[in-house]
Amino acid sequence: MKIDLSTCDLSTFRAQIESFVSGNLSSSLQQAGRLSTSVFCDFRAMMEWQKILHSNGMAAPSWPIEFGGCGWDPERILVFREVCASLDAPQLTSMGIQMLGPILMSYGTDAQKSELLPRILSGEDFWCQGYSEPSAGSDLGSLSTKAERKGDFYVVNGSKIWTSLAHHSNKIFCLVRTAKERSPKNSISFLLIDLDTPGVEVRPIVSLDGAVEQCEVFFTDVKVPVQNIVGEENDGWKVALSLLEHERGGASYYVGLQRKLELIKEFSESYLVGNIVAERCKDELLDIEADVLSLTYLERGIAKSSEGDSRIGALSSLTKLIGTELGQKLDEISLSLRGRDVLVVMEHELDPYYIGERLECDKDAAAFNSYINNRASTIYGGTAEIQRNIIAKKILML
Amino acid sequence: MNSEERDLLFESVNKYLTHSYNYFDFRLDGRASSESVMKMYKETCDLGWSAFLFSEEVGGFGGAAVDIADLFHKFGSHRVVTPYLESQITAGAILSGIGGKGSAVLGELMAGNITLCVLGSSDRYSDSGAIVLDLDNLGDLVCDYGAVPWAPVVDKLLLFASNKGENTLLLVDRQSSFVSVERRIGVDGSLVGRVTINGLRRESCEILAEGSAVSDIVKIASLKTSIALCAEAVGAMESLLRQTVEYTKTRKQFGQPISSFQVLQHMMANMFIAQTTSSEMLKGIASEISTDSDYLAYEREIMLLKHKINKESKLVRHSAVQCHGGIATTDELMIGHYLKRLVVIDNYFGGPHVDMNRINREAA
Ligand SMILES: Cc1cc2nc3c(=O)[nH]c(=O)nc-3n(C[C@H](O)[C@H](O)[C@H](O)COP(=O)(O)OP(=O)(O)OC[C@H]3O[C@@H](n4cnc5c(N)ncnc54)[C@H](O)[C@@H]3O)c2cc1C
Repeated sequence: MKIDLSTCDLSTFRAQIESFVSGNLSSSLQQAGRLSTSVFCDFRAMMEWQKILHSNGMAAPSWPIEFGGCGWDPERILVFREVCASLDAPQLTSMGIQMLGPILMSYGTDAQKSELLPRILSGEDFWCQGYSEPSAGSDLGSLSTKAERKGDFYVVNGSKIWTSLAHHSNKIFCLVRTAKERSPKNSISFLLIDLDTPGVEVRPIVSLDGAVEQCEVFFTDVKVPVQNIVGEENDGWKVALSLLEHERGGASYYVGLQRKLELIKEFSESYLVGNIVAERCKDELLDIEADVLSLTYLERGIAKSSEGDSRIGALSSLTKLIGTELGQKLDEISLSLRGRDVLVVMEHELDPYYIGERLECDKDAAAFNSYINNRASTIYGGTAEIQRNIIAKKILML
Repeated sequence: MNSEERDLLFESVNKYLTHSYNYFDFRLDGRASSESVMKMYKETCDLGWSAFLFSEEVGGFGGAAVDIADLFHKFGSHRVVTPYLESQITAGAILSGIGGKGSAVLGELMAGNITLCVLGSSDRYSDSGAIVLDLDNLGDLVCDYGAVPWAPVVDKLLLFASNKGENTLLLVDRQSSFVSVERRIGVDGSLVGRVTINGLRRESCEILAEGSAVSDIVKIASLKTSIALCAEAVGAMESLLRQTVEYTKTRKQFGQPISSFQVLQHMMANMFIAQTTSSEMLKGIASEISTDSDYLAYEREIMLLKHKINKESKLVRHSAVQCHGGIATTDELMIGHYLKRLVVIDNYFGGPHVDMNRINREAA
């Protein structure tokens, strides 16, 4: 008898998902999950896992059934994420499934939905996010990449920066200026661009850990068909903002934090047994455990509350802030747990597909890279200061 | 050395570091090779930087704690990649403490002809423990030291051992057959070796010192190393603050320099407080230490200084990244490279918790 995952009781649901995930997760995929040093894990592993999920209809559990999602209630979606995290499944990237998908569902034309959504799920299209520009970071509304309407095309000129994974992507969703007005409210449009269109150039940026995650993207007289606009011309700002709420809020930070906490505890209790550093970290870990638990309740509550709650957008700022800052605290603890071994640059130690020997002292090898990469977590998606501004304005009405 | 000569020396240090040194040309995780770092090491020893770190009694012309602090402050603010700390400070302190048998090696060290590093306990959370062995019955002693800065290029290793219960300092060739060094790049642009000793042989080690004096010699070396590390951290913190203030005055968002935002002003004010209190504490303590026995007398103060600097450097480096926004997370700006080095400084003796534990255990 086949169990209906949408209606069965929650403990049956959890057991089913557990057996599915553990049955399909190879050891290198699991390594990739464990060794991941930022929100992006090893690209190859991530795509491999997305394919497996997709062939089982689970690439986007939170999407409605009509678009290829699972149509589960919020509780089930969280259980699904908890199970994936607890078994160290690679995290899928958010740009397509979590950010653009919901936007197309709300603002896209029927043609956009039917053409693009399936390609996001299958991984055929890999999207990147073209919001930030060299002179428009926190002040996103001042962006200056221009799109001029010429017949059936927009001609795009300008550049984007910090575009995560653009070097792996074939498509980019961009905010572009389509009118002269200063106010972003009626001068910005949301445009979908093929990265292989003539005039587009992607240049990688080397991050502190030596890897490439971000890129610059340059547009010189790039011709984009007018039907690639999402929403009305000059009305892209509200599309942009609603996407940001998905970026910040949709993530359930507690899930990853719980797992990270577990792994650190496991590391210090089994590997570093009797060690003075492990002893001292106990109190700090206890302290963070309480914070993570409170975030768990907060995020579960938000997930369940009605879509119509106007504060949800601002609450996504709150969870983003707490989630990222707690993650940074955990990174600091794992840093001290590595002792002076922190000095060595990690190479094959971080490659999930590496099959040679792994040394005892390379347990928790991701600690230093996580620490430096996650310094960015309070910068991307809107800095911690901007989130505090939003809380002050939208929640406290200051 | 009188104060005029001292000023002259620092003028030349400044000149050298400003004109002939640039982190990006020397970091080993970039284009540079260890030869260029070693060339600079030799060149600067010839300029007298090394002799400045030692007292007249052992053939130098400086050697007070302020001398060490002032030079390493410069190393910190210019993010200098060099084995000075391991070789000149830690190994140098031990050799000068030993006197007698150590003097010949020390002479070579000061001349920049050789480099050394010290191997203490193999525990990655400890700095002062000795490996336990019996020189008359070595068996197949295996000792895995983990990450040791500069081990792949040093000429000699100084082993701190406990031989049948007695503290002993042994001198060993790095190229001996029983020493294996896996060459790796350090996160701070340095060169690191993962060192293993396997099958040490009696006839291959020279006993430089043994007996009750050894533990004080080793302790003094670790306290001198702490002073140098703290000074380097203070120099790095100073550069971070200066560069952050400059950047926020030029970076514009919302039509104004980001330095006009109150949050950032507060962050930078906190950085200033952190940096200034650290630097004053360092200067104060260093100025009261001139002889080796002063180090022992100031053990607790030095360890408290290290603790204070671990804490404040975290605030400074994190705020510097935060105030810069995305640009600080790239490899191109110095901000992240100071950050990386400061982490290494935190963890030098095993990490902030170890430093704290030492205060409770050894200097209570
Ligand atoms: C790893 C990483 C990945 C990224 N991925 C993407 C991506 O895929 N797509 C994309 O479009 N962008 C991406 N970004 C860009 C990110 O959104 C921006 O870096 C961010 O919005 C901050 O902009 P900025 O870097 O220009 O910093 P700035 O805006 O210059 O900020 C510098 C400092 O000023 C402060 N500040 C600015 N304005 C105010 C204010 N009003 N009040 C108080 N303080 C203020 C900030 O908080 C910060 O401390 C990524 C960034 C990083 C680091």
